[in-house]
Amino acid sequence: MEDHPKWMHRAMDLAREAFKNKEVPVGCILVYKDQELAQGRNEVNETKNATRHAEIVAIEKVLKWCDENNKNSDEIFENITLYVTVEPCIMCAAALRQMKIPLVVYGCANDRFGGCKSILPVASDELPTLGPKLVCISGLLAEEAVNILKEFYKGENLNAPEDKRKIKPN
Amino acid sequence: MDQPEPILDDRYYQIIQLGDFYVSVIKDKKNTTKVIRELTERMPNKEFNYLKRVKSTNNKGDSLQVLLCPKDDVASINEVTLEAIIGEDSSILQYLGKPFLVKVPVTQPLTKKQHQEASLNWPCTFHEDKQITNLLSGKYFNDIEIEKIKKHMLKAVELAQISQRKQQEPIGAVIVDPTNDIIISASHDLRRGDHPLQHAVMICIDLVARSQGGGMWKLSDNDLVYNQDINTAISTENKTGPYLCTGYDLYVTQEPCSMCAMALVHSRINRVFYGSSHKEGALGSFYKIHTQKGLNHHYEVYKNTLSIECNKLYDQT
Repeated sequence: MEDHPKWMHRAMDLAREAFKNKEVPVGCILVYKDQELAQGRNEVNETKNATRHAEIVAIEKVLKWCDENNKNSDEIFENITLYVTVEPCIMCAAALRQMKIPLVVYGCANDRFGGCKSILPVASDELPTLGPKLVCISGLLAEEAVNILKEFYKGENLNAPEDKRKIKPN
Repeated sequence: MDQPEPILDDRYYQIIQLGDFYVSVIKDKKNTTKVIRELTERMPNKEFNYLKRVKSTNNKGDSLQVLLCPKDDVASINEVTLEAIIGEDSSILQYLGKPFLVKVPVTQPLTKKQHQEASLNWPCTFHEDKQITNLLSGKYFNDIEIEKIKKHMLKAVELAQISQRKQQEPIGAVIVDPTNDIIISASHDLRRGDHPLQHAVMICIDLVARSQGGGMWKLSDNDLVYNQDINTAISTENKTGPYLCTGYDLYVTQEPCSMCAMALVHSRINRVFYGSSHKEGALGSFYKIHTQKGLNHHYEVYKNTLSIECNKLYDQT
């Protein structure tokens, strides 16, 4: 458990990588039994698919890894911890429940799309067919996570009509 | 096919709530104008600006009650008198009777039905939103539109049946550009395969991305299609080309889950038509993500689209 900061720093590395690639700077890693199993960062612009959030990208890498290594993916996901720089959005929170990932450690709140507490508590609402509830730990490297987002949106008026924005939101 | 049923924000369906307000009788109706003018200035009740200031309590219109303020606004006053409510320096005190409490609507009426309900207690202004009235009328779509909707939903049902034959969840999805009625992408569910997140809607969204030269899942299956001419077709009229699912409509046999509903927010979908409801669905049943406050994109949703055919897929007949 005391490794949370260490893994969160790794997630932050990926957020920086997203930034360099002109993607919304959110990064995550999936840790299985103290091993970094997969990384993800936003890939929305390069795929023209607004659902390519860091978490979804990382989940797919684990699925691929399980496939290549003949592992039972259910068993792997049930023992995974997700470290992500920003609170998962509603879509990702629902995806994490479906994958049965038990624990999510995140940095700052996601005031625009948050699915753990900010907009809708998808992570903890009674949705048994979606999957087990998520346990969330928040606030790790929150300031750093916010700063890189601010840096990314610098000079960008978030209230401007979308067609007038320099960076398309995702 | 019956009319697809719109799913509006909860505030269009809610029962009008009542709250306590102080009112007073206007002793002589010839002073009404003076009373209204001064009260509007002293206690505008901005939050309740839909409440008319004066209520006529008999048929002749010569017995009038005037609205003073919400009970809560003077909760700190021990003895509630006209002077205490309006102010000792007011020039209209002489025209009014002792203040007393009545129940008035404290939610703003947004539909004709709510307006009728609210007006039983206190007269309210109501600016009819024609679009909302039409949506709630049960005959929003004309025959031509109904035929188009039916055609696309039948395609989604067909894909759901294909999915079923492949031992997958019987869910089919079609994304259409309503300006020319062209299908941009069509898919069925694949969640029981190697990828639990490959719901029909997620695949359909990725196929739209492929139609725009992007996309992630290079699924090769003849039942999963995308329009390969879309970039060239649109580039002549629109220099920027299509952006995600902006302006597109989705037809899906079952109500989307939270993941798919939010994916549609991120993708800027225009309208969603679905057949069967799902108890954990995110577009009407458990959540209304399409009208969720705080999100930066909202879309229209219609349920019970070709419901008989869709319900058969889910044993809800």
